[in-house]
Amino acid sequence: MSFVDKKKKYRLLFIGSVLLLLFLIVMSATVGAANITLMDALKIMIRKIPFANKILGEWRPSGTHELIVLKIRLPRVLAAAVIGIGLSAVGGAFQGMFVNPMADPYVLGVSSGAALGAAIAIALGAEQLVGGFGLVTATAFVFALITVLIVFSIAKTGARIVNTHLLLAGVAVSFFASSLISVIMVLNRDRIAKITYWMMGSVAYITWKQVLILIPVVILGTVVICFFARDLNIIATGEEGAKNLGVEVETVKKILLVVCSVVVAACVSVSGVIGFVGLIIPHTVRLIAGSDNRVVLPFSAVGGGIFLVLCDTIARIPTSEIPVGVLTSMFGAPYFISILLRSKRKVL
Amino acid sequence: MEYQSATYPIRIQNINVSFGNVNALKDISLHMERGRFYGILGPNGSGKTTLLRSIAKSLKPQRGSILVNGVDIGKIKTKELSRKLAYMYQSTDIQCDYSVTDVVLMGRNPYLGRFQTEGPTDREMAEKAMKAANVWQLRDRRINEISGGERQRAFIARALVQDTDIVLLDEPVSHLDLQHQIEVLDIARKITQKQRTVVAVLHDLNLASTYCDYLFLLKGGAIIAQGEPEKVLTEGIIEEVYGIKPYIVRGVNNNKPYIIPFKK
Repeated sequence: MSFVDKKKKYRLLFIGSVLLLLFLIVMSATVGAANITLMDALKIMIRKIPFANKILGEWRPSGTHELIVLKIRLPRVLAAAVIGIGLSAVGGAFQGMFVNPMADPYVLGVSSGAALGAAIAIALGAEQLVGGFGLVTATAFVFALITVLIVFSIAKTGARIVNTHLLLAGVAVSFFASSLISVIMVLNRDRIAKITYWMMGSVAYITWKQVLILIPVVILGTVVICFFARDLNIIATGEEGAKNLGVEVETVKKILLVVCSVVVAACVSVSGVIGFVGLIIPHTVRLIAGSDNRVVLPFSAVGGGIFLVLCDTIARIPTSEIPVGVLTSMFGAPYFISILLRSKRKVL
Repeated sequence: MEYQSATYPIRIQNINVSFGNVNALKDISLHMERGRFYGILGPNGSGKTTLLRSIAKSLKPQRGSILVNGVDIGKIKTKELSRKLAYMYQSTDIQCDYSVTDVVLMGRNPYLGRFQTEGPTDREMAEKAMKAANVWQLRDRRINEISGGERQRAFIARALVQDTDIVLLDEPVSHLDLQHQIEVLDIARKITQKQRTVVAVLHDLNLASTYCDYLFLLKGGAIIAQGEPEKVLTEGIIEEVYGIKPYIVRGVNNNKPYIIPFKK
């Protein structure tokens, strides 16, 4: 069967999975340590929707409940969804572009760069200053982009970007940044816990302000990535042949590298390093639906959102919260292994 | 047939290609006409593939120019060139599990905008090309699960569906059995009937003799001989290029020379 034959089916499935994601976002916002009933939580959210709030009439929630649902839970759930979307879409794009199953959103050193930035900011006590957490995020974002720029400039050979150079430069720069983080931690022993916690990856302290910046960046980036799916398909059958089929290979790669880097940098700087999502979600989609990027990329995006919302919901249940970055690997790895065992198809 | 120089589908003027200190192509000039089947022959490392890749704009000659329909390929945009010239390169391993149909449909990419998908016309053309290349029965199979020869034919179908005036084939029959060698070259031959130019790198002198209208014989990056098979495939020239003494049978095979290689 060709992609064109199954297009209608895929479209329906895609709309279905987007609806599932939205449903999970709402449901997830009703779950948590505070004792708020499902109905109350739903009503609190409905009250914020214009017109729909009429059905509630004169109903009023308690102030703390409203605060918990709208100011604490909703932003973090939305952040989990958006970060899952961004990381998985980028992971899928990188795997397609490098034709390498080991590629994940962090191969170019974005995560290590962001972590280095965050570690420096935390070591300098930035989060205790005014602006607080935002300063750590900003530093992480800037460092993430600087790191990718360094990796690009190392890997560039003339006008071309060679995949292996890019991956190796990414690994080398990552290790260098990690060693700097270790030095910072050793010199600031009192901050080790904070830096380590940041690196585990969590969406617990995300603010509305961060979410509102994150959403447009990630969604726009993901849409752009998806529009390059056909080019990625052709590139995967050979870069030389791709040029002859009218694909500007170098331009496509450069555009995708820039878009992907910004998306990942935005995600990582807000949440810390949430691993595994960007690696296993695209693979899962590929194992189920095949390696056509026109399917892999959009479904990875939505699947990543669903997966991270679920993980984050579970992360909130114990009294002492577990960072979501830990859970993604804890649940993701066995699940992925089981798919691998069941599937006889090739990974890429 | 006389042509205005601007109307030659391919015209190469004094190109030089070198990789480091190695001169792969030395001051090559040639031109090719519409509706003919050209064969590029020569021993390994003689520059055959380099010549083809230069025409396909896969590599840039250090000197000289290549004109496609009278326009320097340096000035033709990638997408525009992909509507004029199809290039089937020596196929590498593909790890992706695209269906054969999807791979063939990639040949329609030159005609599609970023936000478009393949329409009914594209699908019809793909069907035609797949039938011509004898892969229609493989249309739902995965490209990484079919044999090397089948994949070769799928890539030929992809080149056909590109609907170009010029088709470049790099060793199109190298992985094929006898039946499929003949099949593929018959397809290539058929393309030329539509006033299209086919250029193929071949190793088998007898297939080249049978199918090609005109041959370029390369050695050490230079054209040693060119012309109709009868003129190029002679004892003297073959001995000069390949270093073997051949025995040439004439009078069979439509009077085309048939070469039986001998030891040195």
